[in-house]
Amino acid sequence: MDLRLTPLQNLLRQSVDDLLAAHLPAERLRELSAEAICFEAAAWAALAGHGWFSLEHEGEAGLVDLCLVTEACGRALLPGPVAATLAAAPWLQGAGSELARALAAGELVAELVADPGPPGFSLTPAADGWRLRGQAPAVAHGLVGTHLLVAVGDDLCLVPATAPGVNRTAVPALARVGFCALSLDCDLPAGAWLPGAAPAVQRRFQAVLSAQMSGAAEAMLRMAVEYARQREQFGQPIGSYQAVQHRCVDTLSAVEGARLLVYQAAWRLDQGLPADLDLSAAAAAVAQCVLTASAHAHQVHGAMGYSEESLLPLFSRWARVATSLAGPRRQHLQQVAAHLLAGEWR
Amino acid sequence: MNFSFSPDEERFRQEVREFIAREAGPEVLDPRRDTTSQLVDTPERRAFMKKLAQKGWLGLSWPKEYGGKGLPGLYEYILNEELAWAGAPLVGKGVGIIGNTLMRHGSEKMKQFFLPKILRAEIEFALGYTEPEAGSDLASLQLRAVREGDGWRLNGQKRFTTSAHFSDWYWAAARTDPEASKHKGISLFLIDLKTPGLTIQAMETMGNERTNEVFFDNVWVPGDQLVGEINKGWYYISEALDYERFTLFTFGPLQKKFEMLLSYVNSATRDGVPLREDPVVRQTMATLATHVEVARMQIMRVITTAGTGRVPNVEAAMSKLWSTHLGQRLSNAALDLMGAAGQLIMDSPHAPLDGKLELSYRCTVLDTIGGGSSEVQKNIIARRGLGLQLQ
Repeated sequence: MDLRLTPLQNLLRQSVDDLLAAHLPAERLRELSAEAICFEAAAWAALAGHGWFSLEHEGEAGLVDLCLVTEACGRALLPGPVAATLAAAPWLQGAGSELARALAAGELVAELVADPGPPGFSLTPAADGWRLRGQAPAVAHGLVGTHLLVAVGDDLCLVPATAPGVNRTAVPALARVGFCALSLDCDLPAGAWLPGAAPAVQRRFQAVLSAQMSGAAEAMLRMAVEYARQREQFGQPIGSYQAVQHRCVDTLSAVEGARLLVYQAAWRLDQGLPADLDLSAAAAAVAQCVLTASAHAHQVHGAMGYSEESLLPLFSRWARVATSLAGPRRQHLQQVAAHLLAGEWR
Repeated sequence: MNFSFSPDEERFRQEVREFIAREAGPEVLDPRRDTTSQLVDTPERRAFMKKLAQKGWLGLSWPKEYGGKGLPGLYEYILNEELAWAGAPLVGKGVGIIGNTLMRHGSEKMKQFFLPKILRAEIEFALGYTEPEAGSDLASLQLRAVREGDGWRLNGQKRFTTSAHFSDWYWAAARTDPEASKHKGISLFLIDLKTPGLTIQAMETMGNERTNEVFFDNVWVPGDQLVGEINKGWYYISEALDYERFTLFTFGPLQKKFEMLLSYVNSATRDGVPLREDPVVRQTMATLATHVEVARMQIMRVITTAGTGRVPNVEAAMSKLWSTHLGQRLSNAALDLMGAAGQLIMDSPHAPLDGKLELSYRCTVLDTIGGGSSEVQKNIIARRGLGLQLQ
């Protein structure tokens, strides 16, 4: 039993942090948030250059390590659907040499479009494959992706974003991360249909997205602590007041607790152990910690955190979007309850 | 990263489980106890601890030169978890706080007198820190020790010394230099509880447990019963408190209470509807399950960090903070779920779950206060974990 990261994992975490910090300083994050397509190609290329998109494929990394990568992406507020791309990476690798090359080069950006519910998406047999039809009103990184991974029941469809019949319309949303309304009426060649792949990809997605969210929560906490050290009122830094300190501690407690659950869930998946209860528990805890971190960070920042001059709104907006992407806490708790009352508690 | 125990660790756990099943009688495993489960306060419990000692299981993580097994702390933790799960007394302060402090700072004479007795379960200790005017502000303690001949004369009072009425020796903090700043004038003493001048007075609590006031009336303590160096007591206490927080805190009792509640929810109905089908009940249980798992992870993190030789003060603070508040939430949720009958105490015929969660509701009130209040834990985490200084 050892809950510490290995020295290699610590190095991995540090190196991704450093790499992203170099590409995404505060000014760059502000510039990106004003752009129609919020994406930093150089950062993705750099991640690819270090092999992060191919690590698993080369047998050098497990899901725990990918979680460390996405955690760092969350801390840095990396634009783009990195969680979806990494979750689907093994399937993208196997979907043809061109896709594998593009993935390794950081040119493949895949967003996961979960079944939005009725009428949702449908697959019907067509001349040389399948016809995919359907709509989703708000796909978070839809504008940014080179590919869309559409879940239809347990199947996954790999749709090039510029294919005929793929219609993406920019829609303004809570965070400027590249939201689009999506409508599909397109042909899917046989190779683009991945039957039964959705559950496994979604499990991985849940793990790495949870990790990314915990990174964003941590970043908001650090910002709050830094702000509290500098901001003075009543003659001293507000960080010297217990009420402020205790708020920060509550956030740290929530983030660390959630993170331990994420690592355990990812570890269990790596070990081939049942992990559904753990993934849902982790997701529920992460949803809570992200909310706590946002609320407390804003409270500590006072009105300055409300102003768009601060980076905090970029993080808190993203955190809320990620929570919707991951699914609400209530939903994860329903899953936990189902497993719990089916006698799956250890 | 590894979230499972090794085969050796699992084997040890199994061995302990079988030992408890064989050797621990009904008094030792008294299911009517809550927090008092861990106390060695009856002859049967003392006898059981002696059996543990004979097995060589006290001082598992002590260095071999002191008669221990030199094993990783994880083994002691596994032992304590199995004991806690069964409701048996735990390997406590003697092996933990007192033994460790003596090994680090005690005189040779003290080590030779106390350490073997601790390993043989021949001695029980009470902890004397808190006073009426010194709780969270422990450093302001006033029990006065004045040098007299080759010893010390002690006058004053301790409060909430839970183990005083059944223990043999007292580990007490006293002020030896009233002129120095408060943290720098405290010393630790080991005092025989049979020493003349000591009066123990019972205090009953809302959690059914007895604690005590201890009055010192001109108590004379020999000089060689000063622990370590004079006026270094605060440093030793801080070190010792870190050990108390992680050796006395186990996950088992919390897990057991959660599982009791789960079994109740699985079978109970309200107005003809099974509780397990109520969506709000499901959310409540799922939230508790998630939080209980976090508690388990945090304790594992404390134990595994301690195994690397670092005192896990921030991790231990976070773990204590989380687990204690969770215990209260769980107890409260239980009373909400168990309806009117949930309020019945243990001796009532219709008390659900034998009244154990009703008792838990009353006992857990102390948990966020004793052993370092939640506010103190947050201060520690803020200062040492986040680098935020106090005003």
